[in-house]
Amino acid sequence: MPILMLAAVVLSVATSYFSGVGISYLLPVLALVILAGWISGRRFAVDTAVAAVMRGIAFAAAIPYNSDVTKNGTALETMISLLGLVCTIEIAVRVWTVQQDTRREQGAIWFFSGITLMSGSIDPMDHRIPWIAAVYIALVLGSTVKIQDFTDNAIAKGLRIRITAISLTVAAGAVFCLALQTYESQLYSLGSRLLPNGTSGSSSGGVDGIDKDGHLSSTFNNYGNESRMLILEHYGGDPHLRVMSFVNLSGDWWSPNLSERHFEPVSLHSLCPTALGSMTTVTKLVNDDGAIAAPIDAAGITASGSLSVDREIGDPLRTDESSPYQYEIISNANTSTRPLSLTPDALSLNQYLLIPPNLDPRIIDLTRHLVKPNSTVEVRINAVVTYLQLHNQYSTQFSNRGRDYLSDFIVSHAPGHCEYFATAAAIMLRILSVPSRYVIGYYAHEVDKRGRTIVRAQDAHAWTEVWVKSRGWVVVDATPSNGRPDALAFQPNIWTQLNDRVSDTVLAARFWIASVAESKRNVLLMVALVLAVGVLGFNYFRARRNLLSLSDGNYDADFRKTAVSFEEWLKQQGFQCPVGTTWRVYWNDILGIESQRFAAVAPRVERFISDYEDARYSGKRDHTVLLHLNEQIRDLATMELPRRGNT
Amino acid sequence: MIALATPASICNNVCKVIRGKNDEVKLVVTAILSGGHVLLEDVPGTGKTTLAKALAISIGGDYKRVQCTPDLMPADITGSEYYRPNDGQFTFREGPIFTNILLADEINRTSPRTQSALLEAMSESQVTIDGESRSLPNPFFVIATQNSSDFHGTYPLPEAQLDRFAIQLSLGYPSISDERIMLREHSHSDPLSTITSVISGAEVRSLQECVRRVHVEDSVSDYILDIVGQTRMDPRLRLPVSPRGALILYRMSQAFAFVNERDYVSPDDVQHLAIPVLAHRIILEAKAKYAGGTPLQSINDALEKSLVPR
Repeated sequence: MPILMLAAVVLSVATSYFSGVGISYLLPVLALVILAGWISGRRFAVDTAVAAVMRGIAFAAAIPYNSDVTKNGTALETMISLLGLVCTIEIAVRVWTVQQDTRREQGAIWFFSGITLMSGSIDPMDHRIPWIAAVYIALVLGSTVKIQDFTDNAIAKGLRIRITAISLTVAAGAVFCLALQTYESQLYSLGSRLLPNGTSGSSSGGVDGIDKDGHLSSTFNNYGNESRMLILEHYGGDPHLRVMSFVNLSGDWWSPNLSERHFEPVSLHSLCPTALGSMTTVTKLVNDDGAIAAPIDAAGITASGSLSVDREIGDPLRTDESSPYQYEIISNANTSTRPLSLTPDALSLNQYLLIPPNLDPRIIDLTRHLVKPNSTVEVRINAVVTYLQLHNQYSTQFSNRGRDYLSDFIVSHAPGHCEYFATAAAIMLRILSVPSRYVIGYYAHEVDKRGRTIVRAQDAHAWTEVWVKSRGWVVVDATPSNGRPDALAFQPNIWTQLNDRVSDTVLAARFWIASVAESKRNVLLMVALVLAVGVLGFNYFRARRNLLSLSDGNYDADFRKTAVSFEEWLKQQGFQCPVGTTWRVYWNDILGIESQRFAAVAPRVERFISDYEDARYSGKRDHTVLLHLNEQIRDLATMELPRRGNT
Repeated sequence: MIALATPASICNNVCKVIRGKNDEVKLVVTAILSGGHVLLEDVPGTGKTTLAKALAISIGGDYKRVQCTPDLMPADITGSEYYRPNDGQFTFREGPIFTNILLADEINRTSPRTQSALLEAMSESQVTIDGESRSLPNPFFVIATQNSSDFHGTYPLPEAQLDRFAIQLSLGYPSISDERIMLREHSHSDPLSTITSVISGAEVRSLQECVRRVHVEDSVSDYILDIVGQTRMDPRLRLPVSPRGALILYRMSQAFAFVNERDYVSPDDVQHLAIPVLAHRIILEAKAKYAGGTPLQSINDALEKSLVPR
């Protein structure tokens, strides 16, 4: 048993490590527990499964009451990870205690039930606490009730530990909630510190922070390279999903002045659905304001739901998205004739032609010699892209910090990655009088088996966009094809796929819950309550039925059956209790002979004998105890004892 | 908080004086709670008198002691009427038996006539002197000690007298470690002077009431009858267990369960008590006696033959 327990813990930790976020490891752990229960024939397998289902319902019911859970992917994942951890510990504790003390085991179950449920409702000041408490109590009773709980004896014995367990649970739940809140507020302050100047969006395009020189650091974001960020259903457009564009290219190319970062909604040409009337549904999975923007002002497309990225607050934990956005295609007009996103006027268009003042003059010379003075925009773009792709290798393994990157890249043909290509192209196009800007976003290339386009953090990309009169902003991706995320992307591994599958289910449930009207959410809790009470009732009636089937009406004969099965067990161990000797005396004799062999079961046997005597001779005439006693014998029978020694 | 007197508190108090004899002390306390009397039999110097005194001190009531000698007369125990010349009246002077706890030390050294003076007192809690019955205080119990009858100058107790004792115990020698503790404790002071009363006579009465409420399942009382019945079928026995013996075993089992903080009697209780309660009541046939049989063995045989209820 301890080995299985250890395996469960190791497996869950490993799974959570490999899957990036910790949702999927609940499944293998649960499976392992059921397997362990199956192998060992222990009753807790069923109990655990029932408890898990109950807890899941209550957890889901509690979600809508916590805005952060509903509206914020990261908080949800954190909590589910913690939930998984708690479940793992619970399972470990149950596996551990099931052989020792039923009451301790039950205490542990109540404790963890409470924590789980409390974690579903972080806010301890929530005025719906009575509801939660009601569900909790029903849950505890429903999922942990055992047959012997219905006997007078057990109720009397268990009363104190029940009260203790419930108060402990409430206390622990409060501490847990407080800790989680602290954790959240820390996240919040961290986000604010990283993102000054009222900007929002904590990560994209490999930009997630500012180093001490005020430059954006260019490591990948926090979400794990493989985790999903967006799910686009019925999406068939350009893979370039714009998140941010940069007007001012002065300074280091990947650290433009933050105040001049521009949020532009995902451009219309990014969302080019396949058919008229189809709906593109965008589901945002992680807490990243930059990960989605929507063409709410675009003609030909209507957006359901409202979108507001609050630039003033810039709080990464307080975004308003709570459900997927749907864009219905009401016009499938040709891209070239569609009015595009906000058309810059002449004055603002000039910004896109500004060249950094300290630019190496060799770059200007070199660029101007690429094309003839009167060539068309297309020719100029082609010339720049061809030049860069011809002379520059794509690489992420190089080091040229502290030098003039642009000169190195354009003049000396140093290797670089997409940000280098994109910035170089933008600057060279500006030199050639083509309004251009540097854009970071995602390259949406992955299509899953269900035909949905999946955007992951590893798909972060940078490119250039140029203003072409009559066509608007057009993507110019100077990065060679071997440097684009589709070429670099790793196939999602099995854990990631499993994780995606589970998180899809969770998402579906979450969105369904979020779609339930506020007033109807109490109904949901009611359902959980009724279910819990239902399980309680079911267990009760099952107990009664078992009881009736057990008894043939003759009190002494019923006990005799139990006594015989205990003596059978003794016989299996090679002992036969004489008729004139009491079990207790005989058991002490056995222990005198083979104390080593029976060390593990001795406390259980002694408890059985006490319980049996308690029931048999006390005149309470309570049949229900027999169920408990029979269960104890079954437990004894499943315990493996060392082989009989030579003594 | 008022500490309620429990059987355990009496046991613990007595065990402060008598080291390493917890089981025996428990049996004595059991006998007291069942309303029975105790006969301690052993060689001199094993702590019989000390046990009796410790018990008497622990139970706060009156305590009197009679040192039984061959010349002790019944009236020395019960008391007698004597003539007062001043007013020409006979006045009754109570003997030592008018007490809560009577310690009859070395009871087998007195004559059978004196021994039988205790008969009525022990079974009926009253004495009749000059045709007038006088009630004894409640609770009343006798702790008698006797030296093994193999010693000189003793009169074995008559069967009727023996049957009135709830249990007969022998303390036996203590273990080396217990004896070492005993030596150390006695080096400074008498341990008897260090203990105080932990329970009053009234409390003993209420505990005795509780004992009567301890549940005895039918199967367990059948078990008692089974054991008693086995002795009656035993050809080796001239005098098997009397109905009074069965009744006392029943009551003692209740008390023993109570002392062990249970509200029902288990067969273990019965088995545990069978020998101290029954062994002194039975008398072997001469043939069996000379064949090496002992009452102990007969009781053990009876236990083996009786079916433990399960």
